[in-house]
Amino acid sequence: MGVYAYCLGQAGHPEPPPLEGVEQAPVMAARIDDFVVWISELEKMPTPDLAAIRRHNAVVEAATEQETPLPFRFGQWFGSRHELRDSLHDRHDQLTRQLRQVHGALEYGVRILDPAHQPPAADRSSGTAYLETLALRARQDELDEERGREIAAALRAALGPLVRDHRVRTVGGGTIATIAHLVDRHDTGNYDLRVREFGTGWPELRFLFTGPWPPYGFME
Amino acid sequence: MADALFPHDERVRLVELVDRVLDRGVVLRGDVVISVAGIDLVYLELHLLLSAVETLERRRIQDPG
Repeated sequence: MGVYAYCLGQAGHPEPPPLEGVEQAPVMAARIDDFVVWISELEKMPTPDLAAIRRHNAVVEAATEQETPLPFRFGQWFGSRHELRDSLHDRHDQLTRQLRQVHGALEYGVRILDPAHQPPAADRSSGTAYLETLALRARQDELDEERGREIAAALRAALGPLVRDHRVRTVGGGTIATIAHLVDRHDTGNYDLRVREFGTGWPELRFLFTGPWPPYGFME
Repeated sequence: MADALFPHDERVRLVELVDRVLDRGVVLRGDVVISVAGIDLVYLELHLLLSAVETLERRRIQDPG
């Protein structure tokens, strides 16, 4: 019997309500040192499919209702509770630091898209043309990355102290940037207003705002 | 919990969910390209892998087969 872990909270984190996790397994709390881990006990590692991903997230969201835990990504599997305990021991200080960072906060996502993005078509008519296509693509990626980081920095500046921390990824392919903001729970209304206002300043781009989420982006 | 403030359609919610809950490179069962605003964001190929579309495009161009 192995252990599947969803998220980790500080001592005193609420017990899970009656809840089905991945593979319809019951969710329970494991108390290890000064941590509480929401887990399910399973015969084997769950199959990664969309249903399991949704179930994983539903459990983590339930754990986030009252207090913010450190959410694990899908697939945190341990052969036994001893293995889970050893893993937490090894990372105790790092996990404590990260729990402190996300305490009382939630994650919001901003995805910035460029609908006009058109990658250079692959030209395989000759070796030179092929290499030129690669060079063009690389240059376009660099420009998009630079632009994404500039917009993310401008957004962070516009939101000021509303954002406790942020993570920026540049992806390419018409996605200029994906940004995760860590926002205090009591500031979410103000955050909503400010990010909408910021998006109107870039009419050529499309901003997708989502949240609140458990702070997946801040779990390292 | 998601989208309490920003109502979006199911495609956006799915993209954001998968992006958060999975690390890239994880093997998934599924077969779907998720697009928003005409841009392909996530490609789930049957029993293959989760990858950004751009990454797949790069692989195709670098390894035309």
